[in-house]
Amino acid sequence: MKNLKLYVSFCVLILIAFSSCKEEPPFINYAPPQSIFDTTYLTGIYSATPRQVLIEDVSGAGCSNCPKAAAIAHNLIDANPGRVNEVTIYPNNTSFHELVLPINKNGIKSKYDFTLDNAKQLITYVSVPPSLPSGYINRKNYSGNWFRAKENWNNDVADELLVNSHVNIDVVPTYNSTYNSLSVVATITYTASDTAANYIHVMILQDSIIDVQENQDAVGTTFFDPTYVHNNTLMDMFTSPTGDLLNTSPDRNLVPGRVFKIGYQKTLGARNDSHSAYPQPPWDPKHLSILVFVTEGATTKYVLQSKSVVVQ
Amino acid sequence: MKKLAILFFSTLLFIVVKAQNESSSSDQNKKEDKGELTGSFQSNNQFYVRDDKIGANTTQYKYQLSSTDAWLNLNYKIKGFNFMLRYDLFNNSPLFNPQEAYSNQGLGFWQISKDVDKFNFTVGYFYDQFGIGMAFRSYEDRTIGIDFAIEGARIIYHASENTTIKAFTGKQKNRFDVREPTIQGGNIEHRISISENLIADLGASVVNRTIDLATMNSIAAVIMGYPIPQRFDPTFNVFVGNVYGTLRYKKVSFFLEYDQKTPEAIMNSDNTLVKKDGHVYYTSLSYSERGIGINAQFKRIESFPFQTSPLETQPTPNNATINYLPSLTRQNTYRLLARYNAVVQNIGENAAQLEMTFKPNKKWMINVNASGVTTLGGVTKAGYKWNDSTKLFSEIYVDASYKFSNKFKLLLGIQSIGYNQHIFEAKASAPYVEALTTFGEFTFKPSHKRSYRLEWQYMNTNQDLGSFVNGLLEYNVTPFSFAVGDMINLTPGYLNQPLVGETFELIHYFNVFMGYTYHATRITAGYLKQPGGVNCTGGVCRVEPAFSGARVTLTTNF
Repeated sequence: MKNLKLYVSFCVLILIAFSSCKEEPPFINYAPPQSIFDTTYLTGIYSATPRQVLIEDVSGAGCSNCPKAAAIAHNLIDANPGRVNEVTIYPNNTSFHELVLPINKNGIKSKYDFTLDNAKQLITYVSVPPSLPSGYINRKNYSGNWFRAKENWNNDVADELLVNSHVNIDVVPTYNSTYNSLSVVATITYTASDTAANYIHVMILQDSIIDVQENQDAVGTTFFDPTYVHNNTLMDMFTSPTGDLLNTSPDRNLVPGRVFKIGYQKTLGARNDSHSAYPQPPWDPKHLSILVFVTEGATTKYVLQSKSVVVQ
Repeated sequence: MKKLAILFFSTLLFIVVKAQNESSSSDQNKKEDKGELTGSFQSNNQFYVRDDKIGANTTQYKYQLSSTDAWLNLNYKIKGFNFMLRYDLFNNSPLFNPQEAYSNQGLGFWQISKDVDKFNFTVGYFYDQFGIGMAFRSYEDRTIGIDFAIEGARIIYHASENTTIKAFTGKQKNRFDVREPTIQGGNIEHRISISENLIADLGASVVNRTIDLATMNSIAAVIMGYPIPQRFDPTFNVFVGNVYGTLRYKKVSFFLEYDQKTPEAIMNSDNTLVKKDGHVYYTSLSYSERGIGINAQFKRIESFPFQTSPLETQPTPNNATINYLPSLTRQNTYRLLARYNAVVQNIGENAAQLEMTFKPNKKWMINVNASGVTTLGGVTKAGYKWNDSTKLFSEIYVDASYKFSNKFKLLLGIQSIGYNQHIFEAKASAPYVEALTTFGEFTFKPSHKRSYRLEWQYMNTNQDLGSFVNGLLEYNVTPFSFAVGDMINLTPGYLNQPLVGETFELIHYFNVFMGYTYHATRITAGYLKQPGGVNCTGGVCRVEPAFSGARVTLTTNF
């Protein structure tokens, strides 16, 4: 009888196991593509343009080491004109809240909340770094990890600059002040075949946002800098955080001369997606830029080519 | 991993040496457990002779020309400890994937287990199953390149002589690595003796698989490639639970099992991911007494693939399975009778089988078997439906053997097969195969050291590769055995019709074989040709290309 009770208890445990399981699913985009047009055609074969390397800097307002990472990225941009692009990502991951949410300490208070839900989805998709600052260099996989400490960025970027790309990107952004709308036409051209799934990513970045940043002085003492300039800040994405598939059907296969011409449009209205009592930084059309990049495959996630263009 | 292997080797050697030292120096204590070292070795060598006519032209025929698979097992038991070790070697091997030449070698299996009172603790790799395996089965089947060992930890608790509880956690072995998703589960089995003649064996299990982030990202990417209405949220965790029981009353035995799987992403028959829950219903009723045995079984599978990942579709569509869904069809041994096998459709099927054995006296023995498999639509609330859209497999089999004397025995039989080649082998244009086969076997054993065996089959069909005849003559004289045979493709079928202006030529699949046994060692050598087809073990199958060449095997136990 004792063992029968054990048996019944086990069966009850099974029922509990079945009924008590809640988990957070991976990001699946149910929103239709935001493109206003999406055309493809074959044309004469283009010659490949030089590779532009993408640094995705995962950062936070309360991360005192993050300005150092931003400085490394900006130095790389300056040292390699037109060959290096950067985006600063503030993910709304609970595990990083201490580092990414607005600051309210010692009488110093942030003006804005930079964090985004789709930034969280982006880093969850690529791979969540254990700490900040961290970054992805062309989303290259280094021994099982995509994230790289800032100390590796110089060498990683130098290595990636030597790699050729078979994808050309052209970006034409337009701001219409009458309608306060931003339009982007991205043209993706293939100079060689690719059988993997390729994804397009289109991001809106904003420069010159002045707000509090935790920082370190020359001897490592932390302080809050209310005049810090946040550059290349990820504001929004036209595409899904995991990108939009380019070769969705056999008639969109990636062969030399394949061209995708995709248009996006957005009204730069009020930003109401803040996760805290702090507002999101408002749109500033004078400091906007558009970052477009193409990645290969959901497994490798490797960035084949990138391009960043200022709007005005 | 290598460090772990070295540590394990060192521990094993230390224990062996220590045990041997103790055995030589301490004869005074003869009751002491000195341990027991046992083992086995197996090697399979294949030499490839290209034959484009039968389709024997995979990579081994073009480049590697030979392949070797070998396994060395060592097992050492001492003082309640059990150490197991297996060294695997694969050179140019088509074993895991018939289309590739795989070469690697190393520690393929290690295990340490210890009995402590009513507990058994195991770490390393282990094979196990809950019940008949429909919720969880970790097993090896070398013939079709399956090694689904779990690398992890397991506890078995024998609560009483009637009750056993198991729990484990780990990852599934993948060649010399593991697959990243984790698997964990528990099982309890309990026997109740209600009366002297009435016994109930009850069991229940729960198994959980958790997908790792990298695999989930791949699944999510596939889903996001679908039109928006087809997209869904995949789950990291899936739970499979089951309850089962056997009721025995005198000569009657009744078995019932129900399995349920929580919703998860599964690969549908059209190669797209869908989110579904799953169910399996399984029952059997058997009766047996002297001279007669009857067994009736029924099984219904509804969306029940249970894999480490739904994207595990190579080399077989249902690779990396965590469970085992048995086939309810006869396991034939004669070459032509075993040509068509029902591949278990984990996406959905109904299967029923009736087996009967009659032995009216010492001379006669009759076996009758009938089985049928349909798609899910074959059995509905409206009734039973057997038509072109539902039928998957059918077999009617009868054999009768008569023992003329202790030296002479004759067996004759007939088999009728229906086989959905389009579904089972993914051959889009292949029609439903209907084959009728007559067969026989004659055994003459003039002395206990010598025997002759002649077997033959004739299979008639207009589909697949057409009709075949097969004959084999075997001569055994201890310790040798010899065999020679030929299987001939007599007439073409739907898939090998000669081109216009060409005539069909007879295709011979001959084989010669020799075996030699010395104590616990057996060596075989043979030269053979065999057509491509589905190779199955208990409903787990894979499509294999034709073979042409020589095989040499060696097995030994010590």
